[in-house]
Amino acid sequence: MAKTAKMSELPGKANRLKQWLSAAGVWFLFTVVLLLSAGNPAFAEKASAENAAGDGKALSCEWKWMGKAPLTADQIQAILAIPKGERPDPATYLDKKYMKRHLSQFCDGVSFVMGLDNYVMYVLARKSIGREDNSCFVMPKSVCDEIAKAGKGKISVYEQALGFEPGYFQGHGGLVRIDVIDVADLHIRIPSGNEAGANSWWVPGGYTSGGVPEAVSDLIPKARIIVTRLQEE
Amino acid sequence: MADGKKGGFREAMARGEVESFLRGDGSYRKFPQSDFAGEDAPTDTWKALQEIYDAAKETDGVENALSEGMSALLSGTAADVYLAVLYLTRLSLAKQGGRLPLHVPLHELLLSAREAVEKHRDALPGELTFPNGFVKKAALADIERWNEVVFLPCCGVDLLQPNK
Repeated sequence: MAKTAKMSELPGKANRLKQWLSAAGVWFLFTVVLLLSAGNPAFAEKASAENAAGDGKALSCEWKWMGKAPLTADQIQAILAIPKGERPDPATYLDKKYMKRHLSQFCDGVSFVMGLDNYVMYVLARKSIGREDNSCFVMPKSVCDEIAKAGKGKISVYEQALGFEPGYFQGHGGLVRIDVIDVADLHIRIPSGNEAGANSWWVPGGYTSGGVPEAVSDLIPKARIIVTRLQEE
Repeated sequence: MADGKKGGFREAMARGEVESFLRGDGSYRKFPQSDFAGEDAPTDTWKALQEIYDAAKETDGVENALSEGMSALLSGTAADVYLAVLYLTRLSLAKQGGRLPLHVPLHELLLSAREAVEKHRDALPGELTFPNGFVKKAALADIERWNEVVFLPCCGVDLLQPNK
């Protein structure tokens, strides 16, 4: 999987950023920031405003692939140790430039895939897509395009690339891909881990545990989605 | 063997804890494999059913155990009833798609579900808390949708009309 390898490589800037974040002094600052963000609503509000690619404004597309999040294992563990619902805004522990670059991957559209059964159960007869807390996990459309191109329509390639066990989509009656091109007002943001859809596999920083870039959008109006069904191989 | 491990269906069946397995209590809870395709439920019901299908290939009594577990859920709390309807939706879709590898008395269970939904009609629109801590809001909206897109067209049962 060429893309997976590409995503796992840290660009020079990111490497330097990672080293910088690993320094002991910064770790102390990070801890202070976490404490501040937990106890200071004003700080959290400011951070929330920073963690947004939309808010009605055009997304910046100047950056492309970034690589995995510049967080140390200790930082990741510290965030995961915080109970869901109380986790800090990503803007309190991620560099602004990293966030901007990460979110710019989603400016050309977002995608996600689901089994046909789940499409029937959770998309049909609804006016919008997402969870009740106004969140929907998405990946950059470019990632889905690349998987589609590599797989030439094979469902198994989606399963392999996105970390599903073999046969997952066949067991759901097929695969449905959903694309959304117009995302400017969907408040695309890096997940905090407090989202209803964030489960035990969630890791901070904007990548899935399998290395796929992810973000969260507001509920997506159904009129805006492009649905593609992949038939069984 | 996926269902032979701790928290698997065979363990639940051996212990008489099929209802807990279906509900995702404690170590029986299943999590979605992906952030992009998970369902809003106390356990990943698709994964749970896959374990049950696998167990049925090699173990006798799985169909009865599943039916009894479903009946127990339908006799339980509003949260249990919501989850039972979720399982019935998956089972109905699998049957319609020719992917249901075991026999379950779906029609009888749907009739029981209709009574159970009526019984908990006041609680289902609110907030339902499951034993594993999962909280489900507006469960009735899901049931109404599944009734419209699955049960009515595929099974001929109207879960929201107790007298039909």
